[in-house]
Amino acid sequence: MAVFTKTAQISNTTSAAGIYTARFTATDDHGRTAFVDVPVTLLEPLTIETPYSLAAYRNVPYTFTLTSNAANVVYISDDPNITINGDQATLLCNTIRDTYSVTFTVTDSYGRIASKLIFFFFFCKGRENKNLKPTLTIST
Amino acid sequence: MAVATITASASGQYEATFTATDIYNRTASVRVPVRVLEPLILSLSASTGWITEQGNTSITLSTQNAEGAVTFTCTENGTTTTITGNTAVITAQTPGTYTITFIATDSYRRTAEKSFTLTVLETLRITAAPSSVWFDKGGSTSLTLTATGGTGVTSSSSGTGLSINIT
Repeated sequence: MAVFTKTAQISNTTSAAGIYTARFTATDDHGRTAFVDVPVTLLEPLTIETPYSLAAYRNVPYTFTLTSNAANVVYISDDPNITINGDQATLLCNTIRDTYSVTFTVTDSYGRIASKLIFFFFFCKGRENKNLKPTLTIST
Repeated sequence: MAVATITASASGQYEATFTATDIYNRTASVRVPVRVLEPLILSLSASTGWITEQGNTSITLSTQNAEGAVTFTCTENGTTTTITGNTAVITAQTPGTYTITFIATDSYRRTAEKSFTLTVLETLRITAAPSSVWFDKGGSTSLTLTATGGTGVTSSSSGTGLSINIT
């Protein structure tokens, strides 16, 4: 039995993300044909959509939502100050710096991986133990 | 007793006169009408053909110069089958090459035969292909397809919104 193997390269630069169908047809020298339809899913590149910078407080757990442009994703971070539960991430950091950066990585159901460095800006040091914005008190 | 062999170069209606003469020069004659026929010719609608396994093909048989009713038979690998009418429907389950001999017989028991060579091909199938593929916009993906059962297989593709190159 003769076996014919072909390799197809599929690409796209202009179409919108979505599901397309590629039909591959084999034709032999008797004019007989056989075809197979292969669904082709064109995806937007995976990205983490959480803003690049967030405001937080030192030594106060700061919980925020990780978002991406894909469903069924898993977020991870190897930063010891970050705990992740689903799409909820919590930063608890006692750094003396004014900013702190953490790299988050997301993996989707296709096995795609994307990372993003997010910066945390800490509110003023005088209020760092309260999860409140600074307030102004005027006395006479 | 004598045996006469009659030959003729053209068809037509003839009369042969046979005369016997004995030693006393006595004679006796007999006239025998002789009809010379054109040879029986069998024609097939095709001498070769192909089908895919479990498929079928039809062969139409026709004769020239037949006298009276004509019966058709076919023989393949020692098995003879009588054909109803003048069309033979041939089916085959197993790929291979077969030679089928068709025989026409007219009412004078004259016969003519022709052979038909049938090639039975395996079903052309795409036996391996991914159930689906994906890639990011601006990227690409490769997939491998395998076809069996054909000879000299070429491939083509189509897909609206996609650019596909097969090597």
